[in-house]
Parts: sequence; C-alpha cells; structure tokens
Amino acid sequence: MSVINFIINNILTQAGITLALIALLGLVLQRKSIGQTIAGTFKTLLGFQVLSAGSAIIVASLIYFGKIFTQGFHMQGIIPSIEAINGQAMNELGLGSPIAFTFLAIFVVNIIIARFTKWKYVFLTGQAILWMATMCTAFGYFAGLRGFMLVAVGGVIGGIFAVAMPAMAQPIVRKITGNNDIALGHFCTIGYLFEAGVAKLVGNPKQSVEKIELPKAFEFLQDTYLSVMVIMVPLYLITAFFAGEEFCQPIAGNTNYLVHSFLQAIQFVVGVYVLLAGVRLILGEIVPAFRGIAMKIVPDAIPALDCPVLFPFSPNAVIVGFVTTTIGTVIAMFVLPSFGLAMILPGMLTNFFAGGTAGIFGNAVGGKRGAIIGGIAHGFFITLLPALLVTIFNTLGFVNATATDVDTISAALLYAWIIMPLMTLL
Amino acid sequence: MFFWNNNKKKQEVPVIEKVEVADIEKLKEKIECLETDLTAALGKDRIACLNALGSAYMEIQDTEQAIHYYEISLEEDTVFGKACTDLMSLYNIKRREAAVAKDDEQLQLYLNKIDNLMQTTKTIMRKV
Repeated sequence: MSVINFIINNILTQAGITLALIALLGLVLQRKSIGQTIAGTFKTLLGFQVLSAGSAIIVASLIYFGKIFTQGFHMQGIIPSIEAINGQAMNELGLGSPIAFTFLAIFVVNIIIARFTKWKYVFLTGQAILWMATMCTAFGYFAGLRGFMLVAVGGVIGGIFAVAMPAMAQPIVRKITGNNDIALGHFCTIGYLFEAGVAKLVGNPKQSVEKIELPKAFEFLQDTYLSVMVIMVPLYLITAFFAGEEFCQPIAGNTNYLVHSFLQAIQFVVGVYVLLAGVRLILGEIVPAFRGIAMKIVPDAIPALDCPVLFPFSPNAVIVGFVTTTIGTVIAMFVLPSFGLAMILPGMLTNFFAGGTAGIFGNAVGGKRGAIIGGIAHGFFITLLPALLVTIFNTLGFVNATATDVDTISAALLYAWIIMPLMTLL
Repeated sequence: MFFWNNNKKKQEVPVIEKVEVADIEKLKEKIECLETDLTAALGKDRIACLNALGSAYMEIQDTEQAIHYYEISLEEDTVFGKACTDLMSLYNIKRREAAVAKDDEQLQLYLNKIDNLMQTTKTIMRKV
C-alpha cells in the first residue's frame, strides 16, 4: 500500500515522468527495441524539462511586460500565446500530470468514437491535442474537478472536439480539396466556420481570389521566430516608451530602459523557441506511437491533419486571410477595451495559420469578397473569444497571456459557463 | 442508425475511380511516350513531363510509380501544384493499405511522408 502511495504521490504527480511513462507505453505497444524504447522514454522526459525552462523564460518576460503595459496604458495588456498558457499550466501551476493524462485520454476517446461511429476522423495534430488537453485541464481544475474526474471529463470533451471539429468542417474541406481523403485537424475550426458563414452572406464563390495576382511581401514569415520578433520588439519598445523612463529604469538597472525592453522582447522569443523545442521532443515520441495504433484500430480513418494541408489548394486565399484577419485583430484590440474587456494584442502566428486557413474557407464559400470581409470578421471574432477568458485566466494564476485557438477557448467556455454552474448546483 | 456504425462490411481500401481496359491501354501508351520524352526534357518541360507521368500512373492506379514521379517533380520544383495535392491523396491510399495489412513499417513511413509534405507546404507558403 505504501508503495502504491509512493508511486501516486511522488511519481505520477511529476509531469515529466508521467509523460515519459506514456511514451514508454506507446513504444512498448509498438514493439520497439529496448534501445529505442529507453531512448524515446528519456527524450520525452528531457523534453518536459526543456519545456519547463522555456516557460520560465516566457513568464519572466510577461511579468515585466504586464508591469510596463499597465503603467503606460492603465489597462491590462494580454499577449495571445497558447504556448505560454501551456508552459505555465504544466510548470508554474503544477497541472503537468493531469494534462499529460488528459492528452492520452483525448486520443483514446477519439479512437473509440472513430472506431464505433460513422465519424471516422482521427485527429493527428499532436500539438493541437496538447493545447486542448491544457485548456480542458486548466478550466476543469477551475470548475472544481480533481483527480480521475478531471482527466475523464477532459478526455471526453477533448475527444468529442477531436471528432466534431473535423466533421463540421468536412463539407467545406471536400469543396476545397475535391475529395474526402483528408480532414482538417486544427482547433480553430469554429473560427473557420464563422468566416464561412459571413462569406456566404456577403460573397460570390464564382469570383475566386486565386484568379488575381498578389504582391510578394511576406519574407519575414519564412521563420517562425522572426515572425514573433517582428511583433514583440516594437510592442515592448512602444510600451516601455509610454510607461516612461522613471518607471522602467529602476527595473532595467544599469542598462538603458529601452535596451532592457528590447532584450525582454527577445527573451520572450527565446522562451517560445525553447518551449516549442521541448514540445517537439515530447510529441516526437508520443504522437508517432499513438497515431500508428490509432490508424491500425481504425484503418478506414480519415486523418485530420494540420492546417497547412489546405494551403496548396488556395495559396492566394491564405495571404488574403492573413492580412484581413490581422486587420480584424487590430480593430478588436482597440474596440474591445471600450466594452470593459482586456486589450488583446495581435498574435502574428495565429493570424498567419488560422487567418490563412480561414481565408481558404471564406474564398471557397464566398470568393474574394467573402475572403476579405469574412477575414476581418474572423479577426475580430478570434480576439473577442480570448478576451472573454482573461478574468478566469487571471484567477487561475496565468500571467498576462491568453489562449489563441478558438476551439480550445470554446471548450474552456463550456467549462466556465456550463460545467462550473452544474458543479455549483451539485 | 444516426450515431452508430452499422456497416459491418470488411474494411476496404478506397481506390481511385476505376478506368476502362481500353483507356488503360491508351494510358500505358501515353506513359511510354512520356518516359521517352523525359530522358531529353529539361527545365519546365521536365517538370511538366514528371507531373504528367505521375498523373497517368495515378489514373491506372499504380500508386507507387505515381508517388515516385511526383516526388521527383516536387523535389526539383518545390511549388504548389498537382504534385503537392495528388501526393497527399496517394500517401493516404498507401497509409490505408498499410493499416489494413497491419504493416507498421509502411504505416509509419507514409505517416512520416505526410508530415514531411505538410512541412514542405509550410515552407512553400512562406516563400509565396
């Protein structure tokens, strides 16, 4: 009994060890060699430590940013970064183990639904499942769920989303790709359907955006971290300028306050780089193991793949979607505070990947007018939803960040608006 | 029923639309001509030839040869086009075949090929 207690209290509560054990399970089920199994297990453990290090770097930078933003603009400035949310949840808030178990549970529930129902979608984007597991666990914890129930409820909700989102998008995905071979596995689907809805009202599908020539001006997007830096550096510098030298210089010490601000922006980018390196190490062993198992259990599965799968079918729409979504997020950034909501700063990566994919949906349904007007509406929508969660994120202890992927936010709102009231009644 | 899968048929691997025998013969002749042309073709003509071969093999349901030519085309000219979109379909067909045959190695091979194709797609998009 004491051995079991020791395992539960000292081993399974350690997120890195939990993740490593999940990877071990996957590698053993795949009948990998002893060497591969040991290497894969330890790489996963290492990946969690790298993720934790990245999270600590991000949090330090966000704490600084929060102080200077409040001083400079007298409101809370929120950076949309699901990576920061995940890092904080797994590390600073100590939810790493439940998140790891929920991640596995989502996979299992997805496979069960795909195996026994007519919805054969298997969600293969490992990173997205990790973000969903994070949000389900964090908000399940906020709703008062603990232990097995926290994981089980998160697994069921996440698993349903993993099937329902590809299923809902599939009629339009079929229209885009011309076949039913692949589905979309990206937890921003509610946003895509929102844009499609707006595009249907205002657009004309016969006037496709692919028929026009667009300028080439997105070289800075060639590198993920350069893209983040392009936004973060001006943001931090402008904010420090408005906060003023008198406030910022004591924080900066012997370094000029603007140089210190610049370095803090770079620190944020470094934190994201390190965190994502950790995520890749973790998922690099777990995802191949479990998706192999999933594909064998559901051989007629329709794989739900990450959003770049649609880019070849409509590249101009990606560019239009990115630009118009960015316009929408900037409008929302200034408008939402007048309604008492936090100022959500634009997230360039979300605007590119989610905005770009939304543009493809908008164009498929409403042509270029649908892609343009739908894109601006989409940008506003994907800023509004995270803004609704800021108060709860603050209560949970997250520092100056909010989530980005709207499906994960919708799952969180499900917990906040339905599950939590139900828990209170019980 | 609305929810449960009542279809208890043995899992079948979906195939590309069946082609008539006469058409297959014509396609095989076309393939022979294209392979001859390929030996001398350069630049854009070579890419067009490779894509035409990929497409022709796809039509006669020779997925391996179709993949072979489309992969060469994408490697030599990494842009969005038929090679990119058809390869995704072809990789899925091979993935399903491997899943039905419970061939782990092939399954992982084609899942990794799908991953690499998506990475290529991201890279192309950023250079657009």
